[in-house]
Parts: sequence; structure tokens; C-alpha cells
Amino acid sequence: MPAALEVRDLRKSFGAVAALRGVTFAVEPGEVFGYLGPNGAGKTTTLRVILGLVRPDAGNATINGVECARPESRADIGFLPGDLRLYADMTAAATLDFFAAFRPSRPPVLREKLLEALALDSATLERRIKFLSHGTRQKVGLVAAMQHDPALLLLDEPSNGLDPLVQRAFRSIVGDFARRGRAVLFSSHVLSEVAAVCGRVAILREGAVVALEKVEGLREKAAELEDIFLRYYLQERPGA
Amino acid sequence: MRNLVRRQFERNRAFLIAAALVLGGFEFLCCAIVASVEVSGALAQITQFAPPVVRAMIEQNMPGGSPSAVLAFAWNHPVAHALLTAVAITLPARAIAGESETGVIELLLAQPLSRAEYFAAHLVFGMAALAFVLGAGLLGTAIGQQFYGIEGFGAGRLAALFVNMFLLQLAIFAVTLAASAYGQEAGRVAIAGVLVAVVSFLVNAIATLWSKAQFARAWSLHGHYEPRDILTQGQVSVASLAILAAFATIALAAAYRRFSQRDLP
Repeated sequence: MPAALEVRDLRKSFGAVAALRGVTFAVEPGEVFGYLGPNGAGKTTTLRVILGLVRPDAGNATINGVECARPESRADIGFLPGDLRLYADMTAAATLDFFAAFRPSRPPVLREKLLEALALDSATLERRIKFLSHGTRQKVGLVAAMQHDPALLLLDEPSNGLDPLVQRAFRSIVGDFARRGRAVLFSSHVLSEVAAVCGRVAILREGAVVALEKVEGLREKAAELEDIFLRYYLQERPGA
Repeated sequence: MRNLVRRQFERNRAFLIAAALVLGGFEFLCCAIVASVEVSGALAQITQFAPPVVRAMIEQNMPGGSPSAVLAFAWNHPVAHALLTAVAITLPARAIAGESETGVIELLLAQPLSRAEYFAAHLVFGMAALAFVLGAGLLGTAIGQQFYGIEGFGAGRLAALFVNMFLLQLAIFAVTLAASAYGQEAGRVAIAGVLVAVVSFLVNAIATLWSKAQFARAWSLHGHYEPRDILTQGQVSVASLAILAAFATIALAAAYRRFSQRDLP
């Protein structure tokens, strides 16, 4: 059985700037995989390569064994971008219908459950996106990404703008996803959040994976995950 | 793809209906003017006192001042060009550069949608939008001629004009879409499209009025748009249609090539 997501030796430069330097990891079904790194480390570039938005200079990525450059690789995924942008003139409900329509064979079976868990009521759904708060837009984006119960969920800074109560509900939803055999790539720079939901973590620094371990393994190295993160971030340079 | 076309329709519906109504109304109004004013006499008076440039323009565009010549000029009037060109520039500028600028394209192309389907959706909608606004304008002419008892051009000549104007605007659409495929900001792409259209229009106008510049007409997109020949004489230049179609095809191919290879957003 192929990995839900497999990334092999991805390399990408933008001019003189090397954004990715041989990134390799895999996410298995039933796993919440943390992708951790400071701003500018290459997390979003990795996700964009996985989604076929950015072409790698070398290496490749597959989703359930299908090359990421092919649109069919995205048939059974959900994606929440770090900087979520939606059509401002659409209502929240129309937005959910719009994204659901791209997958006619995958009905939005989880929509009602997600709306309830994220406290999105019908009055909110009838409002246009431009009149919603940042946090509420983020909730709409989460529902749009997860409503069709995808086999692989790609989340880039997913709890941006969510209040603590909703963050807890969201973590519970992600955990439930993994328990049902779904794979989740959870990209974030917030350590506590990653530690709370992820089983394994890759730490990215300047476009290279400097650590790839289970969260428990990292905890054994230091009482505080922050210490580990800072050690990798400040001392271990890629290729050093 | 149907999903994207529907979205384009919802987003641009008001703009397209307004453009269609204004163009149809303008062409209808031109019929009203032709029916209510003794045009040839009025033009004779104007040309008598007009500066040479204006005289040349009137003689070139409305020879004899017949109703059909004036109505043919209404299809070369800056108002008609501006309305159609606004559609031909706005839609492609938003299609790639505009969606990259807003960031929505990242989420759209994260769906199981190929870039070819995305490109085709915008192309199909753009062509339908141009046909709709142009059709409304031609309907304005046909209804106006009927309403005011002016001798009609007939379906064949109106159809030929439709094809010629459609290909001209498609060429402008295509070159703007190519700029959009390279660009990141809809505003800059739109400015590039406007520059192409205005320069082409002016080169044609100058080449028409100034015999020494006549050679430049062939190098202008608008030089291959001939409403007077089509509507008053029923002459269609197949070569002009072929040139516009070839230009549009090449520009669309360049746009698709760039779009299919670029990093987004």
C-alpha cells in the first residue's frame, strides 16, 4: 500500500534563493504528521509542490502513489492554505458548494458535523465572505477542505485566527480524522499545537529537514520541545 | 470546468449586461439619428468648413454620407470599440493575474482541476461574453433599422461583421490573456491590454487618414477590421479574418504555454 503522501528529495530555488534542499519524508494513512519550521523555512513551498502549483527543480512527490503534477492526485485531498483567500462576494454557503462541486463523486458528507463542531450557524453561512471575521473565514476554509472526508488533509497554519475553544474542537476533529485512517500533514510554526496533535514531526530549516522523529522521541531529548526546536533552529545548519 | 464558468458568469453578469445594453442602445441611437437627420447634407456642410483631417476622416469613413455608410461608421466608432475592448481586456486580466493577485488561484488549483481546464474555462467564458455583447450591439442595429424604416443590412452582412469584430476583439483578449499568464497584477495587465488596443486603433486611424502612413495599416489589428466594406458593399476580406484568427491563436498558445509552466500564485 503506497504512503498517503511521499516526498522524495525535493529541490526548488527561486533565483539565487534555495527554498527546498532535498526534502524527503512520507505520511502514512492514519497519521498526523507535523511539519514544523520558522517562517520562510520552506513549509509553504513544499505544500505548493505537493499541490502541483510550483514545479520542483528536482525530486518528486506522490499522493497515494499518483504523481503530484497530475490533477487526479488531488481528487481525494483537502487543503487549507496558510493565507486563505476566498471569493469575497460569495456567501459562506455558496463557497462550500462551490468547492464541493469540484468533486461530484465525493459528496460533502462531513459538512454538517464540521459546521456544528466549528460553531458555524446558518445565519453566518448566509453572509458574504467579505463580511466575515478572519477567524470565521478560517472556519469556512477548514470546512471546505474537510467536508468531503479526504484521504489526505494538507493544513498550512490551520489554527490561524481560531479562538482557543474552537482550536480544541479543531484538534479533536483532526484526531478523529486520523483514527479513521485518514492522513494529515499539519504545517505550523507553533510547537505546542504540533505537539498536541501530531505523532511524528519533521523540523524544517532553510529548506532542509533537520530532524524527523516521533514527538515522544523529541520529548526524551529535552523536557521542553521548544528547546529541541531552538537547538535545531539555531545550531544545526543544513549540510553542516 | 462548468463550475468555473458558472462562477465567471455570476461574477461578471452585471458588467456584461451593462456593456450589452449600452452597445445595443448606442447602435439603436445611431439608427435614430440617421432616420431623423438629413445626414448627407449635414456632412456636406461639415466637410465644407472642417479642417483637412476631419474632412479626410469623414470622407474615408462615411463616403457619400448614405445611411448605411453612417451606420457602418457606428461600428467603427470609439464607443463601440471601447465597450467591446473593455470586455476583451477585463476578463483575461482577471483570469490569471487577477486570481494570482487575490490569492484565490492557490485554492482553485488545489482542486482536482488541470491548468488546461482552468484556462479553457476562462477562454470559453471570454468568447461567450464577447459574442453576447457584440450580438446585443448587432441586435441594436437590426432593431433600429426595422424601427425607423431604414433599409436593413441583411443577416449575411451582419453575420460577417460579427465574425470580423469578434476576431478583432478575440485577438485583443488573447494578447491580454498572454500578459495575464506572465503577470501577477490585474491592473498592470489591463494597462498592457489597453496600450495594445489603443496603439492598434491609432495606427489604423493615422494610416487611414495619411497616405504616407498607409503601409502601417497592415500592422495594426484594427487595420484588419473593415465594417464599411462589409456593411455597405458586402465585401469580406478572408485574408483579414485569417490574420486576426492566426494572431489570436498564436497569442492564446503563448498564454497557455506560459500558464501551464509557471509557478503559482
